[in-house]
Amino acid sequence: MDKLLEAQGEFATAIRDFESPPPSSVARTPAGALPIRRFSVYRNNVVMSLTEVLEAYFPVVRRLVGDEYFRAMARFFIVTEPPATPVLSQYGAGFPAFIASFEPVSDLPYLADVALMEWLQQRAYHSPEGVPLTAEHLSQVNAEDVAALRLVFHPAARFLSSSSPVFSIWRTNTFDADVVPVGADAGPEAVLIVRPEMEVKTLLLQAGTAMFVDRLMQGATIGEAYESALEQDSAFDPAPALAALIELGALIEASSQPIKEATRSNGGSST
Amino acid sequence: MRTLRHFHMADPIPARAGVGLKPEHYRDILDNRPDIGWFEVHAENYMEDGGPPHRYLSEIRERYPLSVHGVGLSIGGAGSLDLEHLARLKRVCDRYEPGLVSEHLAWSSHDGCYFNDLLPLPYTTETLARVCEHVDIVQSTLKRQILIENPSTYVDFAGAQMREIDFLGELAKRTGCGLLLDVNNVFVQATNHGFRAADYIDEFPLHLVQEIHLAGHAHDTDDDAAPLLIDAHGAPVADPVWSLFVQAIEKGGARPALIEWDNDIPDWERLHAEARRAEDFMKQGERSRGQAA
Amino acid sequence: MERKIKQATTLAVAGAFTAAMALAAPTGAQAGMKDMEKCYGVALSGKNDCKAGKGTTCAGTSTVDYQGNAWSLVKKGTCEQVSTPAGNGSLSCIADRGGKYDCSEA
Repeated sequence: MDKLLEAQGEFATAIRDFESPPPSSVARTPAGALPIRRFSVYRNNVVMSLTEVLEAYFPVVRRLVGDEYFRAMARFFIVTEPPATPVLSQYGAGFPAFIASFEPVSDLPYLADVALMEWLQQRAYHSPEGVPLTAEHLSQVNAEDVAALRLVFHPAARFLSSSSPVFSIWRTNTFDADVVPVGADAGPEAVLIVRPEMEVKTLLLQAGTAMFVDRLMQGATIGEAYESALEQDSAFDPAPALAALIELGALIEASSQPIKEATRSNGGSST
Repeated sequence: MRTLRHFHMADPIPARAGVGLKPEHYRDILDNRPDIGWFEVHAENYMEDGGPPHRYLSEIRERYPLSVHGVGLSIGGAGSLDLEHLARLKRVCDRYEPGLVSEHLAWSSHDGCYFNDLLPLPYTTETLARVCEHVDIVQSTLKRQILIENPSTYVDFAGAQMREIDFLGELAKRTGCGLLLDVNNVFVQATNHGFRAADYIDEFPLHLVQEIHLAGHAHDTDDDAAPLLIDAHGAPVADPVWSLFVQAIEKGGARPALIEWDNDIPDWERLHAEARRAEDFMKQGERSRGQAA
Repeated sequence: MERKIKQATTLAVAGAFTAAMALAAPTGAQAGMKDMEKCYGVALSGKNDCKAGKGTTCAGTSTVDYQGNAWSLVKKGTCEQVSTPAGNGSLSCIADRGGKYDCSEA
């Protein structure tokens, strides 16, 4: 009945299944053969262009496994999880989880978190704008009110706590021509990703600071976050941590009221 | 120092050469304010909520006329139009107030899945009805006329009922949309589907054309080892495409003409030189037009 | 989850807050950064284009059926430089995988 819809469905299936013949709506060659090469232009455009998207968004994952391996892995992902929207900057959200479940890379247990870190950087890049809070703004808070204060993070801010040394792996693979080996003594690492202006900045957090930032992002008061951080690291000093958050433009609001879910920024989740 | 010019809604795209705006060139453009007619962006690259792309584009929009070229609306999709995506396109148009808005005679989504390629359509009455319906929705939502671009395709359809040129003419007649003539696509189509490119230009309803695209193509071969051209946008404009461009200007008059260069992107100087080349050819076409008149 | 905040906490964070404001003030000269190691990300660009990909007819067309133990691609990247307690950077690949996948040879 709806011939066009049917034909496009068949065309779409044939693009994704590399072993199927070209769709029946497509004309044969003058000699009566199936136009396999002609149709393959579409298959290749789709797979190659989406592979290029993933290559652009996951450069460290690509460097870790190598170009050929990355392309092969990307194709698995593209075929199983094609884009759901034409806005390609949103394509790749599922790639870290795909890597986590992709058995051939299970010998690289850090790979999924490195991918997640790259995805969070990409999300930070495209996040809404926010006006960073300055030290001047905050100086007006009464000392006795500080403990009950909650901080709203910039919409771009993302937090990731990994059981792997994601930051060390990412840094050497991003900035070093010859990567510095990341040794067996490397432990878990947590990062804060911010984009106060035009640049995405990624910071490695000490254990106490990581707990402090994580709790604040989840809506805890400064007092609560401080106590949690102290449990993590008895030597934790909140002064440099708070100063750094301000300097980085990571905060946009301080409030004595509980922070509404809608305005709270997104901590470690992968969206 | 160049005077700051502020362009707004009414700014038409001038009948000069423009280039597709690439992030690689943001800084060059803002630092050096090159003398170029206009820029075009792919709408889908500016659909996020914030970030550097919007900041750069806003600054560039303050100084140059802008055209918005959609690449993902799937106007030729048999299923219903993605209204969520159309709303995103509207936000881009509301924000940047482009002089022209265009899309492709193609489909790219099916059943909630996006293929990131401009897929071909069989030119039938059924297809025409569907595309007209979608163009109507787009134009009434955006509250403006849009331009539809002739595509590059790599396969033929067994059930085709009309020629591409007639399909586009009928589409424009029924919906009131304008046309975007991609001269490289004409050359690619002529090679891939066996017709004379010059005849296509000669017959094209040039009075409906409000913008021209120019780009490089790549060479390949089909199943019979015959030449198959690919619309790769990764090279300078080929000589026969320049000839078709001059032919179109000679016959239809000067139009905004865009250099599209999306693969192996050259530095700004090289891209700008290609745009100047387009303006030289445009002048050549206008001169012959004057002599003919 | 609200918790009762200790008096010591109230005092400690109040003091830290004042110190932080001094550190974060323009004259504070990035003193707060010491606690966090900083790195800059690289700029990202939009990926929506109306071009054909670099694929053309040949790239990616050669299909190899990486079924089960045929998934034998070797990781040729920098992963061998990473050896963490949770897993070394062994280049061996797990071969036992059901289902059928196509991988580019190109």
